[in-house]
Amino acid sequence: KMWKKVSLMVVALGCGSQNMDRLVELLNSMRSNSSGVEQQLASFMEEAQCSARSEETLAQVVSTIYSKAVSDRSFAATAAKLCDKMALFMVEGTKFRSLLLNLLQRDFCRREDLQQSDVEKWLGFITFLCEVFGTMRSSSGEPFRVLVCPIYTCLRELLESTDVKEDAVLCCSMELQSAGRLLEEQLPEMMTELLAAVRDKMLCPAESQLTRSLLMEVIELHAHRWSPLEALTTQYYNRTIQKLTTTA
Amino acid sequence: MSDWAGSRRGEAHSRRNKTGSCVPSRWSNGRKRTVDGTLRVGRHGDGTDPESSGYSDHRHSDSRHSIFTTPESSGPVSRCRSQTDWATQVEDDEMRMGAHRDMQRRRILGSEFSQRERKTSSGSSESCDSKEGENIETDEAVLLRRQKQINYGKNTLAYDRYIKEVPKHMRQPGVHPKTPNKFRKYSRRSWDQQIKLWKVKLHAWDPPVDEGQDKVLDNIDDLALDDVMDIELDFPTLSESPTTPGLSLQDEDCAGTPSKVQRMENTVDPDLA
Repeated sequence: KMWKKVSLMVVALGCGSQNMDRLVELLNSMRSNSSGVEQQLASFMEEAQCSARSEETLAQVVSTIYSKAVSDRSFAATAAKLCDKMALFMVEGTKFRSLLLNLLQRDFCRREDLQQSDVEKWLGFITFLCEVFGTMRSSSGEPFRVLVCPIYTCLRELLESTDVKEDAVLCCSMELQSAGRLLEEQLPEMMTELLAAVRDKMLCPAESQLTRSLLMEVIELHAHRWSPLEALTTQYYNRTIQKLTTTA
Repeated sequence: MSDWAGSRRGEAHSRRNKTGSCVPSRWSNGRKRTVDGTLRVGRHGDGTDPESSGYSDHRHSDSRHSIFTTPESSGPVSRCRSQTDWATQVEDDEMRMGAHRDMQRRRILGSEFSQRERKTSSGSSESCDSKEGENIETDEAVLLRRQKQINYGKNTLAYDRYIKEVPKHMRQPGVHPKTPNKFRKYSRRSWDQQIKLWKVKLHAWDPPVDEGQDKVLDNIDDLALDDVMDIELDFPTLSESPTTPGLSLQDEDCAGTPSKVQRMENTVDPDLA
């Protein structure tokens, strides 16, 4: 009996990688802004639910989605939506959501190392973390409060980063645009602190124009309670940022 | 910022101790010896005493944790992560919200129910016992813990089969297991005992062992497994008896393994309360 179980596990892991390839294909074909994305999410979910029969294979599915989400920042938002749909999917007593949170927590715990070893992944991780927080809800309709402090910490660290300064500030700005309101609702004192750091940096002449433009936009958004700025203002920033990013 | 985060974590930690920790509650009964026979020093003596007398229970739960996954847990958690990992915290938050809604619902229904009770002559003996007004359990920590225990019982194949087989209106009191009512006031011992008996009764609906294995080994015949090596697996010895005294009063987190979990995990007798 035992022998059969073990051999089945071995086989499952082997077959797992074939199934994963298929899932990865599906993921790759998803384009965030395309109209067919809802349908693609649905097909992916079906496929994943069929192939995830054991905890191990479920973990592989989660891991596959996670890897893609943190390595491709344009995919992060879509990935978060997908994870929200699959959150409560459970195999052998383990939920999709729990595995996902484990991965996020693991990377959060080792974010310093991540920043040193693979800065793109670090940025991708923070992006995905924020998207998860902004998109996913518990079954009682609440956001995942446990993520609030870690996100503030990461945003702070983005502002303080010395290597990829502008990319980091861009990441910070984009995520604040996306999750700022929710973050401030959850923990206004920390938003105040964060904004103070943003202002300091913005007023620092040593910072690049790009950095300071991005930060000024954030300050305006905050003042505007995170709702979109007037069209002309947004245009101004888009133009400015574009100008600054296209110069050699 | 880190101070705040630190105190937040501390808060969550102490909350966890009240609800789901493995520190035995029988401590409050003032017994001089733990179930293992080790002598307890004094109630409020050393701050570490509760920990040390509960340590053997911790070890129990740790060694079990590495093998079994309790439902809705994030699996074995590595030591370097804080005790309250994100996955568990989200689960707890979810339950708390659920508990609030339960309570609101109960409050609304409770007032209707107790009115009806007073008017008609009561049928079953249980409705006599609960005068919803004074006897409602409202402590959030208690409700959460109880709900968790109930979830463990409901998250089993046995329970699934039971509810499919016996619709509620067909249930005979005494014969058919009934989920203990978490809103009634009971002592900790009484409640834990009710849960244990309920789960034991549910075992009558455990799937036959063969059925479980067949499902898992669905496609195995299609695959040529002649070359698979013999692998020796070391399964720990587990207590066979569901009524081991050491388990009876422990928090449900540490005791028992729902049979649903065991499809792929092991071949040991799943009948473990």
